[in-house]
Amino acid sequence: MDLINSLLTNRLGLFIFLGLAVNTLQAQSEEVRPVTEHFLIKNATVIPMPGKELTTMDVLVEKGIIKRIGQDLPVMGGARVIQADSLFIYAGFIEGMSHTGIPNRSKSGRNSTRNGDAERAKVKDPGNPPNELAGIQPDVQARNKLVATDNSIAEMRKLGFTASHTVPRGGMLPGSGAVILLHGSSGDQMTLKDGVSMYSQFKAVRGVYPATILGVIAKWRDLYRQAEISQNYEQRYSESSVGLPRPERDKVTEAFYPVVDGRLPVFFKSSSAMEIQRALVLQEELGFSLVLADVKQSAPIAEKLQRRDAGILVSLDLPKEEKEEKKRSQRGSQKSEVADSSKESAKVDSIRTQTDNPDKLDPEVSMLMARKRKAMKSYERQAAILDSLGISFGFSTLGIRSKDFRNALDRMIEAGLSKDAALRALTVSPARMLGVEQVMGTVEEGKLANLVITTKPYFEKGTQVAYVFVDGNLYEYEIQEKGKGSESGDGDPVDFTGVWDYSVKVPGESADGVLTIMMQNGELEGEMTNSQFEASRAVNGIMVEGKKISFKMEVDIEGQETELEYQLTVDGDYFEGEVLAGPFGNFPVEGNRVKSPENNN
Amino acid sequence: MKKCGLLVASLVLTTVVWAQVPKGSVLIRNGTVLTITNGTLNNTDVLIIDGIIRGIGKELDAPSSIMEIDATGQYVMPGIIDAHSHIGIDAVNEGTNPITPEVNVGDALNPTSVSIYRALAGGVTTSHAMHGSANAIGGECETIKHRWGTYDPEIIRMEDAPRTIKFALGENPMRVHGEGKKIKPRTRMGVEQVFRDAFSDAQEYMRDWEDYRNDQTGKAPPRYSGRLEALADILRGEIIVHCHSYRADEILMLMDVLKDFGVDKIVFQHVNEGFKVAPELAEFGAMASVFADWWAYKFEVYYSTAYNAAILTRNGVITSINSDSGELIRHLFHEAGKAQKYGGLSDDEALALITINPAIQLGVGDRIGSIEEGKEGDVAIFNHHPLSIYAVPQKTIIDGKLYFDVESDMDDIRVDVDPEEEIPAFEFFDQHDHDRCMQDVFETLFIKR
Repeated sequence: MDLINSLLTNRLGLFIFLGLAVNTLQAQSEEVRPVTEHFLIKNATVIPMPGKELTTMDVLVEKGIIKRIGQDLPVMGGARVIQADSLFIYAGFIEGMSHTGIPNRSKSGRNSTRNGDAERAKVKDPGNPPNELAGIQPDVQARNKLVATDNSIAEMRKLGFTASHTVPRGGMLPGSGAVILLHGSSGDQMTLKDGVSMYSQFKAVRGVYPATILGVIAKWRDLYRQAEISQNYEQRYSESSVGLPRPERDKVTEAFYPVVDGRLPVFFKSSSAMEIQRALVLQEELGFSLVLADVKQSAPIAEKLQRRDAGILVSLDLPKEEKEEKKRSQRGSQKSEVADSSKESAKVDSIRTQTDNPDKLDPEVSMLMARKRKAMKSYERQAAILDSLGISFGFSTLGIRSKDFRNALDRMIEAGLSKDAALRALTVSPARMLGVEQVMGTVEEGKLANLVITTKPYFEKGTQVAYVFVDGNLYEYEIQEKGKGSESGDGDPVDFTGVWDYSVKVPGESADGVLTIMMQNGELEGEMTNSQFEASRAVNGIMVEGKKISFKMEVDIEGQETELEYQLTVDGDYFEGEVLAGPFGNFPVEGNRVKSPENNN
Repeated sequence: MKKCGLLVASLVLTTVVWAQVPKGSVLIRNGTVLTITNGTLNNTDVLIIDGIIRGIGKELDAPSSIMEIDATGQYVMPGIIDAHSHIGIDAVNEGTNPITPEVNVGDALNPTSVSIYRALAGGVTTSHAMHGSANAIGGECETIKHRWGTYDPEIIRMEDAPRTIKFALGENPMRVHGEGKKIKPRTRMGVEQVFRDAFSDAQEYMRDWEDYRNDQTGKAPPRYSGRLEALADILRGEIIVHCHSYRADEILMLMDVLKDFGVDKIVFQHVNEGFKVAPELAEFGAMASVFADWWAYKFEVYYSTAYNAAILTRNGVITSINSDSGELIRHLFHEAGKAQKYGGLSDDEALALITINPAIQLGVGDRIGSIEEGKEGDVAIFNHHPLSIYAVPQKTIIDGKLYFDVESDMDDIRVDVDPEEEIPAFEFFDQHDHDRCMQDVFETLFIKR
């Protein structure tokens, strides 16, 4: 606590020093009340499970458990009474799969070598790298990677999430997941159940085997087949070991044993229709129990999924909406203001202006836009389609920003997902999938006191979360009066400083690094690492305008001195934009602030 | 013990459940039918029922429910087959190791790749989606049928086609591994040794497993290796080798290596100096898949001739012409025409280069590649003779189903549309699969090797 306080003070000092608004800090309006372990919530509307509703109910929470649900429960001494006459009580939401509580790598920003890339570059035989460098670490436990103070925990809790199936970050086999409660001061305290999943992704690593999807799938088969053989031999050895060579121990192979046995499901990150089908092929061939996670594009193959025995976690990370178009056209016109002389961009600008005026659209462009809208619909409708086919699913929250959560839900509901089905996907379905339905997922006596209490039915517009109980611990949130703008306007000065993790999307792959921006003698300075060079390099020509920042840096690409120009737009702790790489083209880039500004005094 | 045996058996027999492949029926009336294997038949009907050619003749009877295509004045040929392409797959080269037979491009099929439709528009019904040429022993390839309009990879897989694998000789593996990673192979000698070492390892692996299976007393099982399993399958003759090659000396080298290890199914790809060793290729029973007139794009590809296909054919080598390109694949019939211009092949010989010969090289010569009763109903219809420079493909039919019709060719035929795509006013970059042979290998820009 002292540490946090001093950090806060330092940050405050810095903000004041920089003359910046302090409004970014007031977001943390929740407060822990460890005063009592007894709560009586009076006169609320309880939604014990999707499709049911009990009015004027009291809920008694005692020592982390939902002790009683009933009418006119007596107030006992020591219990805190919450008058909830107009409030709604739901079972706390469960993230079907996330990285909540597991920070995006531990890094120190400046002078930090990009551990993976640097080490991979040193591997003598890139065709046979050590497992860790190849992203193969199924023996890692999410529980040991938890950081109780990680921002993501409070952020998800504020939305009504009380538990999460969290998985380690990494490569093709990052480790095994744990069901955690979004409360606690240590990983152990937060962990409800560990070893609930083996997490896997179709993720190749740069430069070493497996460097493509081909290698990843081949390696997967190899590991699985070897595990079958090793486990079988260990069985034989345990029955009679006399005269037999002792089994070789290997933590990676052994991590597969419960998967081979069918005791541990594989949660495969399979976002696209192709990835989903690749995971299904592996399952069919090897026979493990499978949950498809981060599913984004199942709509075109929903009927195939209906015939298959695999759990599904629908991604809440929907494609970005059309307003992007608008942004782009604005950017386009700005470009022309700076007198961009190249012919092409002038043409692009003219079309971009056209998109603002639908009457003047080129027929080909409007046809392409119609197809794009249709594609967008298919992503938004996926949850509704799965539900209509009777396929049960939960939600996974990988890659979402907490502020986009409600919007994603709203879009799915608008596209036909019933509110009950949405609630099921937030509560009972993930509870069942994760084997914790005994203790969470519904509001019932005897279950963990994981509750979310809202000002209106959850899926109504303008609903606010008033209270969240996690494991019987109360979090209270300030209710904002209607009409008062809660969003910060565009006029506020934007703080670009801090340590940012960024990734550039190069076709077929993405490359990442760390960008550090700091204030030195009243001027912004920056440096960055990237997969191409280990040490940080200074960036130059930093320009700032509103939420936009741009800068340049020189790099050597295959012997050719090339200037990269970064054009970024910052939104809170997130930025997106483009890298202009001269003759090599333009590439999208996005990043997250992983560390707030350091005190430079 | 018993369980162990079962386990081993399951390793060998990979069970794959084929998706229900769409099949159709069609009657093509009154065309000039280029059967390839049985000459040219004027004013002839071709009847396809449930995906199979059931009749070739004049004024055939057919159930009235069957779709009819009037091909009067048009040319009906077997669907064109490309024995070397990289379309319809999401990855090409696992270029991190000189030996990667355990990988399989069939795991990365992408039926939504627009290149498939482009190929259809050139009358191409089947192609050989290959691993790239970065590694001496690359990955397994996949023979695909261009059944456009699906998200299901199983639909484009040609059901029960024999397994094939990519090998590569010369500069590509030497550059990627020798120069790039300072490991073997750094020279052509090294490339040969990579094959010999790999096959020897596979022989040892087979022996170890056989010993273990015969008598497990006091033994632990050998380590499993998908890589050595695949090499063992090559030695067992279960996989057809398709080898990227240019120079005559190394073509002879690989035949020596294969002879030493008892492998006889080999198709040389590119094989620009094949004309120098055509008799030797014929004697070995090796086949050749060449370009019509494409060379001089790197040092080892200068000694070339447009007469290559004709010389190989005249020497009795089963020869095909391939595209290795998402663009060239659309006009393979022009490429076949070039082989006629340079070397004077007959019409049937020239067309065989893009039909029955590649079918044989892929191990499916008994199923596709000619218009014969009992064969699969893969047909391309042209407005002129396909070897004429005026020929334009009109209709492309696979398994009796119409997949391309020049008359109803929509502007936007994409199956998969990115909901976040930027819609530019003009196409700035032409991103077809041109020359993907070395894709995933050269890491540019932000990517450090």
